[in-house]
Amino acid sequence: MDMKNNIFYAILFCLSFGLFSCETTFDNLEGDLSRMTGEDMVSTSAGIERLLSYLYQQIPMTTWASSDKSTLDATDNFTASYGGRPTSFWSYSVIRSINNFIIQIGEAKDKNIISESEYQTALGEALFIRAYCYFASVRSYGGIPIVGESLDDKYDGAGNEGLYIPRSTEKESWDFVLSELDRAIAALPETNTGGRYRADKWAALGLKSRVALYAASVSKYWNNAPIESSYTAVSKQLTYMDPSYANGYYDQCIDACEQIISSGRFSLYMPMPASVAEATHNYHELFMSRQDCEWLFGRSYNNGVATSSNGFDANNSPTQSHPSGYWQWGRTSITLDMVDAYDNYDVAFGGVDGTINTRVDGDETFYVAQPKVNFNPSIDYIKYDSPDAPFVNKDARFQASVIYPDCQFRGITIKIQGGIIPPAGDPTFYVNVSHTLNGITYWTFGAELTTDCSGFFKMDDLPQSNWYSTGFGIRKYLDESKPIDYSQNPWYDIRFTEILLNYCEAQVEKNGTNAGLSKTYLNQIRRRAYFLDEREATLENILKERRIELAFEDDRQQTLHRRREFVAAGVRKHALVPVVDLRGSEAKWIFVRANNYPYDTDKTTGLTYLPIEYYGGIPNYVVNKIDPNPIQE
Amino acid sequence: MSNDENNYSRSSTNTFNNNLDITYNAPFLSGLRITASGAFDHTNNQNNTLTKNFPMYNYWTNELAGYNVDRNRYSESWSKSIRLYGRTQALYSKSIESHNMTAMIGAEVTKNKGQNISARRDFGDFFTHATINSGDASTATNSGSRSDIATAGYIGRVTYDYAGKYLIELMGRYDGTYVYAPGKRWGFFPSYSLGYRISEEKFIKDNLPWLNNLKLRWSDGYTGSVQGSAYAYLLAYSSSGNYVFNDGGQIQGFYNNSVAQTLLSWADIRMMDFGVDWDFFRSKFGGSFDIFKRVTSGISGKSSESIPDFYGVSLPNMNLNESENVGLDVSLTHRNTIGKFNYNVVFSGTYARYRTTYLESEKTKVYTSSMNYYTGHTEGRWSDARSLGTYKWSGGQFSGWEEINASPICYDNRTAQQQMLPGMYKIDDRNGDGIITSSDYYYTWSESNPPLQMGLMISANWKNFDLSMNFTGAALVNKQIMLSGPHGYGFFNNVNELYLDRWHLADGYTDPYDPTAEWIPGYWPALAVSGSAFNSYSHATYGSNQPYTVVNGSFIRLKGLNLGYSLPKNIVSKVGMSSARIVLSGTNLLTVCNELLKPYDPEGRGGEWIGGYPVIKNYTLGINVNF
Repeated sequence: MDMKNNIFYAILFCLSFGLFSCETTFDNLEGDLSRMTGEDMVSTSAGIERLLSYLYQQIPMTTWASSDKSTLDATDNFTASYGGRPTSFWSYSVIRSINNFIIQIGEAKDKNIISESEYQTALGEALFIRAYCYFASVRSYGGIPIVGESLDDKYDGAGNEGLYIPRSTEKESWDFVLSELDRAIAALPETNTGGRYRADKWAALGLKSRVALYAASVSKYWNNAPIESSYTAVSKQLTYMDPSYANGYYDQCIDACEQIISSGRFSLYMPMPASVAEATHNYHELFMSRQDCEWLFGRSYNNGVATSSNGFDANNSPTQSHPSGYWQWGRTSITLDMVDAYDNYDVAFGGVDGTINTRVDGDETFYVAQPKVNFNPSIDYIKYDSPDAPFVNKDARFQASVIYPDCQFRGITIKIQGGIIPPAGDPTFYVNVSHTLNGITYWTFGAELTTDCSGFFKMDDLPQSNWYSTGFGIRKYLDESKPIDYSQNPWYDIRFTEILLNYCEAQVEKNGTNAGLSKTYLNQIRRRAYFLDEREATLENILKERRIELAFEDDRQQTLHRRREFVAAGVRKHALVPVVDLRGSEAKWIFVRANNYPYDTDKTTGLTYLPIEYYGGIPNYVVNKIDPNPIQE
Repeated sequence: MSNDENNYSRSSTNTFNNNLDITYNAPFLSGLRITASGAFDHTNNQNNTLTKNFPMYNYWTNELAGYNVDRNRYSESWSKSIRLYGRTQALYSKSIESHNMTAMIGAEVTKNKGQNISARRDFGDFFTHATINSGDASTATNSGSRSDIATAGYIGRVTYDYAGKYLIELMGRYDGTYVYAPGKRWGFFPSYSLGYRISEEKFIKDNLPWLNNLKLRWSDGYTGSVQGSAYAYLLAYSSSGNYVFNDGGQIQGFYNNSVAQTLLSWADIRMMDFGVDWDFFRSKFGGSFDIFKRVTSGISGKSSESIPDFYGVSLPNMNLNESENVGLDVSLTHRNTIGKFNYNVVFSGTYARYRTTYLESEKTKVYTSSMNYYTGHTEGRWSDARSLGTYKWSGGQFSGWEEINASPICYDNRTAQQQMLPGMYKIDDRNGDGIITSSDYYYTWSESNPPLQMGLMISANWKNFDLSMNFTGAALVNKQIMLSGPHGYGFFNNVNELYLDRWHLADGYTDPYDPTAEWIPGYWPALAVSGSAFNSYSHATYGSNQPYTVVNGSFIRLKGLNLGYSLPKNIVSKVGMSSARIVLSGTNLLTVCNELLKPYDPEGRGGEWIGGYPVIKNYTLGINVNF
């Protein structure tokens, strides 16, 4: 019997050993070899860097003049699009990633995997990125649902009350973004040793300056584009800002700007040029590489892989500069409206109005709709000796930012011309014909082959997106010294000049003309463009300077939106069509103000933007159980 | 190896199996046996694949036009796997008079580790040797991975029978897998079965002595099925994109976009089977019949409840859905001897259908039309019978432009017959709206595992000769021929020789849209001009399902045949051998199926089948010698 018992216990032992070994069998495996656990990711600073890489990729940063094409300043070549809100953001999966990241680095710090200072930097970066995302969200939707912490454990399969986050008011949302930036400013170091393209204290202050100015402007000018309070979102103040809020935000903007300026780390790049030519060179050069004196935050495209960088040069260089085989180029046309805005120099290098003079009678308000049909040859146009004559005395920043008729690019004379008036007979527009005068042959497009001209090709037919449609193209950011098929220039998202302009605008809006150091900064910026006179720091002067200085830097659309100046009925984008005039004894050039977008559907009244369009439609508002915006009611 | 060797894919496998079994018969309790067994298996596998290009012919002139691709490719892969297996069990059996009982309890563990590495290089148009180093180094690719998995289980079983007449079995399994979260790894799967051997009854034995066996069976029980991907219960991170933190270098991003799947566990499979086995006249006529139903519940699915965007992620998978298979199995055997001629015939057939009986996602699905519902709704519907849509030819081909222009039915979903060409088939406008669209489809058996499958094995021997034949067949299935595939018609301007019987212009290539051109008719419609504004592929004739792209996939095939001759013992023993046998064997010798499937393998499936290798006929002559 004893023996029996022994054997019984032996069997029992074997079986229970089996049970034990089974469980350990599962625990001692190699685990998931295709993915990384959250713990793995934060166990080294290299892992944290990789999580941050993903988060940085998600920043809703608008780049490369893309939003400027929705304003009056520039256009895509075949559309006259106008409107559209600044880049929006509604990706709560990104917010979840950020929120989880904040938890993870906290756990890593508690386990002494990362130091307190590493933790603070990573936390600051996460808060900065999250604030950037919510900033894009608020400016597009007004008050938004703010998810400030991970909801991963809030799913209960029974109603899921914890997952339904209501919209905050617009003011609460702006305040949240600003207070989060304050947390980021406190956490971030003055120099982020992890890389020059990661956020530091100055990036967060710079963003705060931008956000505060945005919130201040929306408050002050909300009534420029008022929306009736009968809309739910307005009555609940989800899309409403009161003018009384403005000064508080201007103060926050001024404070952030002053901290940046007084740090002494930043200055204008090449502030004292000795000539217009030098100023032109400097201003263009600024965007060719990162100049730390102006760099607060931005993005690098120098990834060490030549073939995978961005294609700005390939897409935007003029047609003539392209080797054959490329399929898109000349994609950003600059409008006549923008060209007119650049000042001319007077003899003493003071600024004077730079509106292009086209007519002897001085009427620069008339635009020909479809010159091919409506051009009137009997109007007395000013006859210039060369195609570039109207532009050569313009602001250095124009020379550095805009390609115009007969300018030089990559050693080529850029031909932009849309019409020809023969010695006798009817003029021709947009069809390449030739006429001879004094033994010289002239063509409608300025050259016989379409690969030897850069503008207006087939404007009246199927619009060709590869030829400028306005008479001008973008030059800013184009790097003539590098191969054309890839661009590795950095993108300045926040640069010091913007901080100075933010400061000027906030000061003047709150405290009046020339308030604070606004006049000094305004004229420093102008001096850098070799304007030697002084201007008063009026609101008008500051806003004009902003439009010129930050042209095609994806600022204009935001400025117009925050100031509620986008609302305008009948706006339209204009072109300047150079025409070679052979009616006299020698060839002359006249310039026709025109309005000739083939896809401009409403040619009589122009394009409009309604007040309710300042707030975009809330995605999935029914499923999300939140109030819709006016545009959805 | 020479330059003109053909495509091949060769693999060799070396396996070492080591088994250890210990049995302990307890001296103190008769009938108690304890066994422990362990296995350590080690497998090495090597695979070498050469893919060479092949010639293509011009569709107008039939001249050699070039090769399908410009490159030749060689790849090699090596893998190693290790299996560790351990099992301990105690078995007790006891018979008291006619009462027989057994009881068993056991535990087992399996661990599998594997790793592999592979490499590939391309050659230009000039192939040299099938080694990795001979290829162009700039085309080199490689890959490698490792795996490490484990399962474990406990099993308990009790059986009882009375005189082999009444049988009963109770069983329970408790299985664990590494795939799921702790707490979700183990599943309990009980089952039972009952049997009644009528042929053991005395009144049968007395009255029907030719009835050697007649048994009724019933079984009902659960087994587990592992589903979902391993380690989904961990919050895991994958790489996504790059960002530059410092000029001249980039850092890969890592992110997580799914919640931890901590709720998912085994799917339960309940199998119910009623069967009859019989054997008459000492195995001369035998067979079995089964009717079964298999219900799979707890199939992985996502809850259909709506959640707000703020969750930032989609819901985890849970055990939600249910499906069932219902079917019949028949097996008939016949064995006989006539003089020295012995033969044996085994026929087996299966008819099985499948349907989803609960589908969580159907709860929130919106159907926009009855047609939409007809084609898209799956819950509760037996699969395969009407899931493949195809046009029906209404008779004849368009013989020329006059007929095309006179046709009241528009084939182009437009106002004119812009893409029509002579030779195109007339299609039945099923809904009568005057335009041929997918709404005119007829629905038929789809291309999936055929519901009806059969097998037939015949073996015989006479003196020293032996013969065996193995047939397989299937029905209630269609096969789709993709015309855009490398062997297709209508997408590329160079066509396979299969399509030379087509409508084409008598003078070679001129202009197919010339109304005076003379056409030579054929089975396949004319091709549009490649590169013209009309892409022939976008036309229904080439791009959609037609009777020549959806063909009946039923087939019967002689899959294997072996003919052997054993040399007489007295001869082989003289040369020191114990036995010698000469064998001639062949595979895939005969296939009866639709003509259009002949060049392919009707047993193949889907895309692979379309562009893949045609069925291979093999003959082998061999000698087996034992010393």
